[in-house]
Formats: sequence, structure tokens, C-alpha cells
Amino acid sequence: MTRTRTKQLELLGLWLALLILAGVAALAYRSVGAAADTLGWVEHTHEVLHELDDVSAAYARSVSARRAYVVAGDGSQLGDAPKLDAHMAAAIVALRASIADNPSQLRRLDLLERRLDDRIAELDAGVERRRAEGSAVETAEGLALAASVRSIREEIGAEENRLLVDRDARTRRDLGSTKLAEVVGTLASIAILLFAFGRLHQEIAGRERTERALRASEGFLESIVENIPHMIFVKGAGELRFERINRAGEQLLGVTREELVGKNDFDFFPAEQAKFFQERDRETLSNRVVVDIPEEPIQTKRGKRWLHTKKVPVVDEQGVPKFLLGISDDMTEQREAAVVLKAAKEAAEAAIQELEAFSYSVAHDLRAPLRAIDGFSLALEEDCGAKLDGAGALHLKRVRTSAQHMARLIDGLLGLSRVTRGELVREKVDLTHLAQQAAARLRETSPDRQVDLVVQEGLEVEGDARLLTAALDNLLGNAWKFTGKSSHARVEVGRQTEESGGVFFVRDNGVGFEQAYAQKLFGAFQRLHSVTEFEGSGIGLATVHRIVRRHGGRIWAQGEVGRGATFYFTL
Amino acid sequence: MDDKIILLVEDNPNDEALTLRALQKNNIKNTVVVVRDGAEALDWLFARGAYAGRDATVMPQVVLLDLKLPKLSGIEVLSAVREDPRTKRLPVVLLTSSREEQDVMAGYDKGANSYVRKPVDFADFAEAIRQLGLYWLVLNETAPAKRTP
Repeated sequence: MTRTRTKQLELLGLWLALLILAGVAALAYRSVGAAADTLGWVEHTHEVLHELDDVSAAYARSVSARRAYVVAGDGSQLGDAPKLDAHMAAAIVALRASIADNPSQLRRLDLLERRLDDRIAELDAGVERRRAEGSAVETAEGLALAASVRSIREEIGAEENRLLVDRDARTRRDLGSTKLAEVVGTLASIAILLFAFGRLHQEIAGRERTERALRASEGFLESIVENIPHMIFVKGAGELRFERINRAGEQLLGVTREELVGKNDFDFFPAEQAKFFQERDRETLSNRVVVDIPEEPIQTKRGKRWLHTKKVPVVDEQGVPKFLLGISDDMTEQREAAVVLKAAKEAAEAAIQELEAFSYSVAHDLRAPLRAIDGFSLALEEDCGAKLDGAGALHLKRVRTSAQHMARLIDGLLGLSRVTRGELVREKVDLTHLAQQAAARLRETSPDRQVDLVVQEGLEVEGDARLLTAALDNLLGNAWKFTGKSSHARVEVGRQTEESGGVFFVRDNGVGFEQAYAQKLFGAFQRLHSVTEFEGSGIGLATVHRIVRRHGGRIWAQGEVGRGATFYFTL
Repeated sequence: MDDKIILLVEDNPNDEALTLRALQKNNIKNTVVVVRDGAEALDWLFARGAYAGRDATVMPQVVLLDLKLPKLSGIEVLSAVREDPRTKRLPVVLLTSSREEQDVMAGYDKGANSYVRKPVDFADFAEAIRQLGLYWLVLNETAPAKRTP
């Protein structure tokens, strides 16, 4: 539920509670009014009964004044008769006024009045009779009238009493509903109060919880910021004064946050550095981008340090920069290490270069005396051959053969060092073409050899053309050499697609080798055959090995004595 | 034949002897002038220093130039030769001692240069010189501009 929705509901509840209370009040007011009303009616009934009694009393006095004379001849009260009649008439008028709202009672009263008049008139007739005859008695008619009067009067009384009971009951009812309204109202008020109190309590508890959570989360973030081992600082966007700094920052700069907060870069750093920092700050804030400063010198109280700093603009909801957040990594040690490493690398490179130059010049300079040895041996043979006997000629031949072998060794060494030096230039290389070219060169040097060459089409790779040419020259040269004694020499170049990029192979049906020595094939000056058997320097496969390794590939060999050899390689 | 000179720039006496022997063996009768470092080679070509009295108009038919030389290297000599109008078109044969050197020299290949690898196998070396002799010496031809009627 959203916050606005809750608010709406709360407002609705408040109105509802007010409405309930107002309803209860209105109900109470109304039932109290009704009770007062009925109470008035009860009193009115009592009044009517009272007036009825007045009428009865006045009638009784009027009747007895006359009857005393009629029956007993006592005329002492006769004189009062008109006055008593007037009383009775007045009582009737009063009663009529009181029951004016009740037509049936009025009808009864009319009847009663008529009967009273009749009774009074009958008694007056009795009075006349006694005056005329000296004696009189109550007539039957008179007694009947008296009974009728009594009965009507009782009717009126009974009716009023019934009304009284009715009104009493209504009053009680009205008072009952007033009480109910009071009880309901009170209960409703209590309920609303309890509910409101509950809500309030909940609200307060909720707020306390939120505040606790907020405090906890602030504490959590705070401790994270404090414990991050990089300097973290915040500056105000306006005057670039420090607002915050974490512990790592204090340690790095050698100042406390109390010293730093409220000050700017010019208060702590040399003017040139402070200017640089603030320029980067402004750049960050105005472009609203993260600015990365990989190497930033800073003069701290602990001496000059090198920082890698990232500056981040912190903007408000409208996108207006408010703060500058900075995160700095102390790169001083790494930088020093890098400097040392660079120096070491340069020294190592220089040493390697020197060594290469040395070995190159050694190899190169060894050739000069070799040329002389071979050249003058030949000159000796040509110019003084006739003076040498068979043994002497053989010695001379050995001198030349050895010189020539040493020349090949030197060539091999130079080739090996060529493979190691120089940059590896990767490009698309057609191994099929390179293999065919290598074979063509071999056919040229030994035109009398018959070799069946099968090269798979489309052997395309990414690699260094110069180095791969050297590798195939060596591999095919080997195959050529070791099939020299086979009757049907066959050399095959192809690809097995076992791995990604493929496994290439050069296979021959030559003399082969013992598998146990397969690893020895790739070491420099390692040979599995004697020089008299097969000519060679023992450097060719070492060169191929280096070329494959420089391409990030692998080379291995499979062979069997007398059944050929296969060299596999990946690039 | 006096003006058909071969200039051999070679500091190693053994190589010099073998080269001269090869030329001789192949019946090349030209005058071979031998100088022993790069600076001396340029002095000779431009008739200066120790060779100030030399007739500067006499140019060799071919220069056999070793690469490893004292003072000025073969490459420096070649650059100086190519820069000077007098020697710009002089045929130069570079004597290299390895394929490596030959590769390096390919970058400096300007004008009428040729290579001969100084092989230990003397017969091959002689054959190379003989072939050069066929083109530059035996035919007695040099660049057309210098041809005399």
C-alpha cells in the first residue's frame, strides 16, 4: 500500500469516527427529547385524572346537597347548590380543555355532562316534589342516571389510566433507548479512542523502528566507508572545501578529519598541486563525468606519494552537482616496484641483446678462420696434391670435411637465434603452398631423389610466414633426409582436425626412430643417428620446436624403427 | 687492360689471398687493387688522403666490398659511394659471410649491387667469382655511359 493511500484511509477513518459520534449524540438528544415529551404526557394524564376527580367531587357535592333534602328533608345545603353547580361546570370546562386532544374522551365527557345535567335535573325534580308533597324518594330513573354517571366517569378514568400505563411504558422505552444511545455512544467513543490510540502507538512504534533501521544502516555505511583501505573524500561542489574523509585518507595525508574538514586543497598542498586538484574537480563537476587520474603526485606530511584517483560528481535530483566524491589508491609502492621492474627488464633485455650480439659475432667471426682452413686445404690439395701420398690426401680430406661440418653447425646456430629474435608477425599463411615450395627446393638440391609428396590442400593458418617457412623447410628436410634409403620414399603433409585450429602433421616412411627417445628429438644438438649414417647438425628440430612454441603451439613425434616418423604440431 | 681495375676491400689477409687466388685460377688478369678498411676504400675512390695523387677519373670495373671492415663498415662505404655522383653507378659486389647478413643487406639494396656469400667451400666461391667475372670483367663491359668508342 502506498503512503498516499494510507493517508486517505486514515482521513476516511477520522470522518467515520466523527460521524459515528455525531450520530450517537443526535440519537441521545432525540431519545432524551422523546422521554421528556412522554414524561409531559404522563403528567398531563395525571392532571386529567385529577380534574376528573375534581369533577366527580363537585358532582358528589352538588348531588349530596340536593339528595339530603330529597331523601332526608335536610335543606340546609340547598342554598349552596348553584355555587356547587358552578364549581362542577368549571371543573368540566377545565377537564374539557385538558382532554381537547382526545376526541373519544371528549365524546365520553359530552355524554357524562349530559348525564350529569340529567341527574341534577332529576334531583331538582325530586326537590320540587318534596316541597310540594312534603316527602320524596329517589326514583329508579335517578338511580339509573347515577349509575350511568358512575360508569361513564369510570370509563373516562379507565381510559386515562390506560393512557397513563401506555405513556409510562413509552417513557420507560424512551429512557431505555436514551440509555442505549448513551451506552452505544460511550462504547463507540471508547472504541474509536482505543483504535486511534492503537494506531498512534503503531505509528510511533513504526517510526521508531524506521529510525533505528536508518541509524543502523547509517552506521553500517559509515563503517564500510571508514574501513575501505582507499582514501575516500568528499568536497562541497561550491568552494571545494572538504566535507568528509575516511580513515585511510587521514593516514595517507597525515592529517585528522578535524584539521581537514572545512578547508580546501590550498590549505594543505603546494599551490601547483592544489591548482591541479581543483582543476580536475571543476572538470568533474562541470562535465558531470568520472575523471580518472592514473598517476597523481601529492605532497603529504609523510612525503611525496603517487595516487591513482577517480573523481565522481554527486548531483541532486535536478542534476545540479552538490558534492565531489574522490577515491584514491596509493600507487607509490607499485610505482616504485614498476620502476625497479622496468630497470630490471631493460637490464635483462640489454643483457640478452648483448649476448645475442656476442653469439652472433662469435658465430660470424668463427667463419673467417674456417674459410681459411677449408680454402687453403683446397689450395694445398690443388697445388701440392701430387706431392702427397694416399694417407696425406685422406688427412687433408678429413680437415675439409670437418671444417664444412662446423660451418653447418654455425649456420644452424645462427638460424636458431634468428627464430628467437624479432617480432612474431601473425598473418594468414598457406601451409600447403609453403610445403610445396620447401619440397621444390629439396628436389632442386637432390634432383636424383624420387620422393612421392602428398600435400593436403587448403592448409591455412594464422602465423608468421618467415618462421613457418623455416619450420616446414626443416620438417620436410628431415623427412627427405631420413627417407634417403627407402626404396619408395613417401612424404605426406596434412591436418587432423582433432583440436580447435587443427593438428598438422608431416609423415614419412623413412628409417623412423625409437619412441622412447621421442622427447630428445627437440633438444639442440640432440641426434638419434650417427653422422656417418645421416648428415646433420642436430639443430633443425630444436628450431622447429622453438617456432611452434613461439606460436603458442605444441609439437610431438611418433615413430617406429624402420617404419617412418610422424611429426605433429599445433599453432 | 690497365684501366680494368678490380677494387677489393678486404681486411682479412686469408680472405684476400683466397680471393686473389680464385681470380687468378679463373684467368682474370685485371689489376686488383686491395685496400684494407672502409676509409681507405673511399680515399682511393675519391683520390684523396694517401691516394691524393691518383688519377681520379680512373674508376674500377667492379668493387668487391666486404661488410665487416675496420673504421667504416661496408654499409657506410656503400652509402657514401651511392651518394656521390662520381660513383653513384659503380658496380658493387657485397661479400657476405652468412644468409643473415644478406637479409640485412637487402634493405640497403640500391643500384647495381650483387652479393657473393663468402663460402668456406672454395670451389663454390670460385664459381661465384667466375660468374661475376663473366658479367663484369670478361665481357669487358661497364655502365654504358662510360663506354669508350
